[in-house]
Amino acid sequence: MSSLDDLISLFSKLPGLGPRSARRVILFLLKNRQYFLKDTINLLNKVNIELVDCEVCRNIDTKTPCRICQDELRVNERICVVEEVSDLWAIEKCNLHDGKYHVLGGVLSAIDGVGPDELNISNLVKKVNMEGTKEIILATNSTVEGQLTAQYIADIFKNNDILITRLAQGLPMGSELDFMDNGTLLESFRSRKKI
Amino acid sequence: MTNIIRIMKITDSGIIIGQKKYGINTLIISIFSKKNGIIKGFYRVSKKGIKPIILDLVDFQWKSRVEESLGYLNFEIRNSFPLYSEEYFSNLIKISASEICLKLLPPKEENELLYEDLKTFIMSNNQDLNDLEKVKKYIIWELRFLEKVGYGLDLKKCSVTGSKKDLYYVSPKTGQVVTKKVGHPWKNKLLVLPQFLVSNEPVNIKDIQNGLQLTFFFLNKILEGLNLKQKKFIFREELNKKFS
Repeated sequence: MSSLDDLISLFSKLPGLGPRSARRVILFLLKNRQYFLKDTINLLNKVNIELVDCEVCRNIDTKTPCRICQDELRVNERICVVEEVSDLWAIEKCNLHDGKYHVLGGVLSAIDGVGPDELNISNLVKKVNMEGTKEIILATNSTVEGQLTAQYIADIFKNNDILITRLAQGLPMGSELDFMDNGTLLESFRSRKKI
Repeated sequence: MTNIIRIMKITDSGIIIGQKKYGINTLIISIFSKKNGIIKGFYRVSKKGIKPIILDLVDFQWKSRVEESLGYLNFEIRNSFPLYSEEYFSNLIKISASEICLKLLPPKEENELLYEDLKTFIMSNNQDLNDLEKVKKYIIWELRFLEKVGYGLDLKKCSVTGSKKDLYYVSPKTGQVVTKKVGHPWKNKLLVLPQFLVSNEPVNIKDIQNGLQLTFFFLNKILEGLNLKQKKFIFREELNKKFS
């Protein structure tokens, strides 16, 4: 049973899974060997072989440069900077951005020991200088680390003739004022606009 | 015989100085509390619940069955950190102050004076100050921090001659100050004292560089002596780079 224990221990390290849920997932796969287990093994194998990090933006795709970087219909001069690939996928899913992307691979963080050298910032600087970028959209998370990373990047390009923007801050859709914290309310008032 | 399970409980106010993702909707939050020092605990983030950020001022309750374990946190935000109203530089020095507390202070050891000092520092409005004055204020905060953790520098008089004039170098071993003349033969081994600490002269870039080097040396000395995975300051090093 040691291989089963090893598998449970491995699965329990996946995000959102603990030992109990890992056991449940594995039991489900074992019960449905024909349909799920084989397909899972095949697909994981395929993904492991096929998927690569895009050397330009650090997106994950089957080729490098990725499809987004190679897409000629996209606006080259506009780069959206995100923390993780999942953020890129979230923006892509909504068709919100017609330019290119750049994945930082995290944010500056004291607790995790992540400094600028650990992030994909030097490639961004190279890319911006080479491609004549006109706008950088800083789409980092609304946390102190996310904001500080955005401000750090903005500081690097402060002497370049580039428009640097960040995503709007304020009330989320479907929210109620009563539930909002001071910071969100403050930012919502500050960024109010004429209707 | 019945076993009575005693639940440890701490109710206090504090400043959030660190947070780390744990799983999908749980954070491990570090709080510098007023009466109980550094407290760490899990916090489950719900969709409608409070999403705290570093440097928020909070009233919190920490609960755990075992004192040594992380425990769970619940809190109310008393004052949100005005993340977007300040520019990069102000945010950088405030987050650097919180990083120093996060990395150098021991858990659950009361240090109310230091707490109040950090609170005043992060809540201060620096908009009227230029960058040099902001860092000067920050260096003075770091010196007070060092003093409160037992690394106070003796900057009042020359440790060799007793003179109060022409103080210029600081010994990295003792933290004592000496005059320019006394320290000159060992100038490569000594740290330079920023003159704004001993005179009313307007602050200049060289003084700021010296001040940052001086406090950074002693902060690093403490960090090196601790059993931590990450033996470097992220935001403090950024500050050094800005003035190098």
